[in-house]
Amino acid sequence: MSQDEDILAVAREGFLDEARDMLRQFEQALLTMEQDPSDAEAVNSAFRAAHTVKGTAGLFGFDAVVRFTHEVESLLESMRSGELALSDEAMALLLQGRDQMERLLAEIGLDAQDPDVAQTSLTLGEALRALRERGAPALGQGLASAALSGGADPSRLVAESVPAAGGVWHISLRMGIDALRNGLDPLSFIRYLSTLGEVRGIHTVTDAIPDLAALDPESCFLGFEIRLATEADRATIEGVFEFMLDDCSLTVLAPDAASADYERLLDARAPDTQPEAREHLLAAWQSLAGPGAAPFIERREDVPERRANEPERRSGAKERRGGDETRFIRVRADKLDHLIDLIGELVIASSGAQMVARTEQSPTFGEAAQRISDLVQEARDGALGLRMMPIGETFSRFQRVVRDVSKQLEKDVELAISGGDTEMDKQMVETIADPLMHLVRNSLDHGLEGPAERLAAGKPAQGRICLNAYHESGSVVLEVSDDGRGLNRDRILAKAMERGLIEPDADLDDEQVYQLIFMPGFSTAEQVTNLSGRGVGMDVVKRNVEGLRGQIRVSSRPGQGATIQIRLPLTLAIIDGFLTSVGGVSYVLPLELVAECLEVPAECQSQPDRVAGHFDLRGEVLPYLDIGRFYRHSGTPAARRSLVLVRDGSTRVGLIVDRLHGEHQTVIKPLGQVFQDIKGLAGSTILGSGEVALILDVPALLDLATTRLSSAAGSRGQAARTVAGVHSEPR
Amino acid sequence: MIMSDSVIDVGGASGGWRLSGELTIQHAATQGEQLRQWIDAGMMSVDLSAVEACDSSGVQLLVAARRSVAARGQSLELRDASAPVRDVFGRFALTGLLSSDVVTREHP
Repeated sequence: MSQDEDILAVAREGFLDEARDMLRQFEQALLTMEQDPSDAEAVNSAFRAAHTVKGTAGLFGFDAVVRFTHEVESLLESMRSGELALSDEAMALLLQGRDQMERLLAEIGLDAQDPDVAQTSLTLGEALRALRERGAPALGQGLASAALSGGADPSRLVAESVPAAGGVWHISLRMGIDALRNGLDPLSFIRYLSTLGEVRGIHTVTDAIPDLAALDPESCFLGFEIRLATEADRATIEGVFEFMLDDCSLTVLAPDAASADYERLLDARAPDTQPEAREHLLAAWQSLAGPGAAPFIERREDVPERRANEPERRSGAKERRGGDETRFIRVRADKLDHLIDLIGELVIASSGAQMVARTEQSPTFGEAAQRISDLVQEARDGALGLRMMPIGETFSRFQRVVRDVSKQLEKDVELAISGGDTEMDKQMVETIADPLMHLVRNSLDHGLEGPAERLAAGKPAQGRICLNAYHESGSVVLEVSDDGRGLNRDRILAKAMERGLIEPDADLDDEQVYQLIFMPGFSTAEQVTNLSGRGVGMDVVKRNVEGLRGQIRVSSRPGQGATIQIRLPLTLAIIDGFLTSVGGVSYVLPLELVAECLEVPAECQSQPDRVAGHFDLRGEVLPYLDIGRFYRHSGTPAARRSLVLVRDGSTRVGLIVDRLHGEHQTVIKPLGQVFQDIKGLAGSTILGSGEVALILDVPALLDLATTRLSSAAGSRGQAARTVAGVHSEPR
Repeated sequence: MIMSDSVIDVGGASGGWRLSGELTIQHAATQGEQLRQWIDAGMMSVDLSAVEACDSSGVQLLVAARRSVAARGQSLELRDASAPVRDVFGRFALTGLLSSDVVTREHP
């Protein structure tokens, strides 16, 4: 029993996951439609997405979702069949519909029901329906009245014998018994067919419908024989039925199909054992084709040579699917996390084995351990790769935000996305979505000017926001940039002083000033809007980014725009490290950030008490930080020390350590609460020997080194706690 | 709602059996049950003027209902079809099953 519930819960989770994907696809399609109303594929895609949500929700009995989605789907259906044109009103309703679907789905996730949401379903559903009924100029009425005035045989639409340009195709369709239950109504497909050409005749096969006592009203017993005059090709016609192939049997015969093909179809639909059904079907065909048409089945033994230049093919179920679906499987995230944990342990164990091999001084053991270590490394990369996903999906969600917000603010804004295929850890993608959203809103609200102001400044009326992502030396960089007014240094400074965030005489460079916007309680918006300005947000953005071991930077050019750059580590779990030690403590640096290793330069050695200073690297002046002194190691430093040059973006810093131990696969473990305040540490790891090593947070160290060295050092008082005796000197 | 044969007015003036609401898959089970009861009670004509929506399942129900009535040697009149019903039957080229003012034809 409980097992069943478990299975159901998992299936439900899968449904919600899929539904969220479908909503994304739905929204994407709507936005494409808005850009290009003639894009039929976008309408189809939106329709399919809504349809899938409705269908699967039906399987689970989520009636609220089914009922509402049905209205959305119906409206799209009218658009798909050309009965209704896309208007602003329709677009607004469809987008609201999407949001409502999301709310309804969220209710399933929470297992709660909000009367407000139900009410919205009703009102919005009615609005959708009203629009559809108002907009549909009764294409169907035409058919109906044609049938009424059809004369001789009003139960069928009889084709007039006017030759059609592309020829008349024959479509034979039998619905599967579960079609209606799965949300597939043949009605909508037949409606849609009429967009491809002219439905010359249709015969509804009702023979299979039992009497009422035996009928399960939700089962489907309908079949159709359709004559369609169209210039479309076979693929297009079959494409109409694409996503109900599982639930029907379909045969499409080309205009020049031979009578043998019809014979085969007749055999399939009504075998010899049912002479009555056979006669019915033949009669139906004959009357569909019109009185003057040649008989469909010529009773003769020699089957004529096939003239059809289009090969006949019974489209079996699933044939056209496959593709993407078969290449992916869904895996529960916790299973994946467990696998990655295990691989982390494996990494530690394997480096333990290597250490034993070294101390045993056994070359064969060493070789075996090395081989294992190589494989573990590959397994690690593979496992981490499983968690990677492209950021593009998250980026494209902002299309909607930009559209809605810019409408609300009466600004004209274009969103440009690049680097969408850049991959990063799934959890990171999820965590970074909200901060990114806030940055985009902030750009829309505060960064970009209104059209009038832009024109006055000699800029195009349409503003531009760019989202960009790329990999750079072991990090993922995400950028949100706009071509708006840029950050106002003076106003930020004034505001910060007014709020008491900085001392009145503080001397800050641009970067430091811009960083002030991330301080809690800071907001320069003269008008607090309901979008982004309430002084909450930017500090939360920064906190989130730092929570992912990332940094956030701002650059701005007055009048030309601002760029906010978020730099995140590639993964949260395991990195290639570079192992060093100072005294008895091991420190790990991310290997990607290590540029080179040098002997400690003479200028550093001459002042052994300094924590930080500058040195000369082939004519370039770079800062350095003495790790031993920085973390206040006691005892005399080793006689022969090394300097590791690390880089972060374009800045570089030298870190002085006692010994270098080389590459080390590092499983990142969080630091305990006690160590949270220590600057410059990103985490800890366990070495093969079981000892703990500390992982250095290079970007943070870099900041510390430069802050320490700038003339303003100490004015902001950060990190001074851990460092004693700082000698400051002007840069 | 149960009436005896003698009371049925084919013209529909006295109300008779009138389906209302939606003849759609969502309501198929209830509507089917309703029709079943009415047929057991001897219905020979059903008023469709109050049907607000109709889909394929509705068509099936009405065809099945006709079949049930036909089984006892009578025929069921589908009377005064509303626009949605007429539209769907038109799409399916089954308009002949709906009674116009003049004729009711049995579908083959």
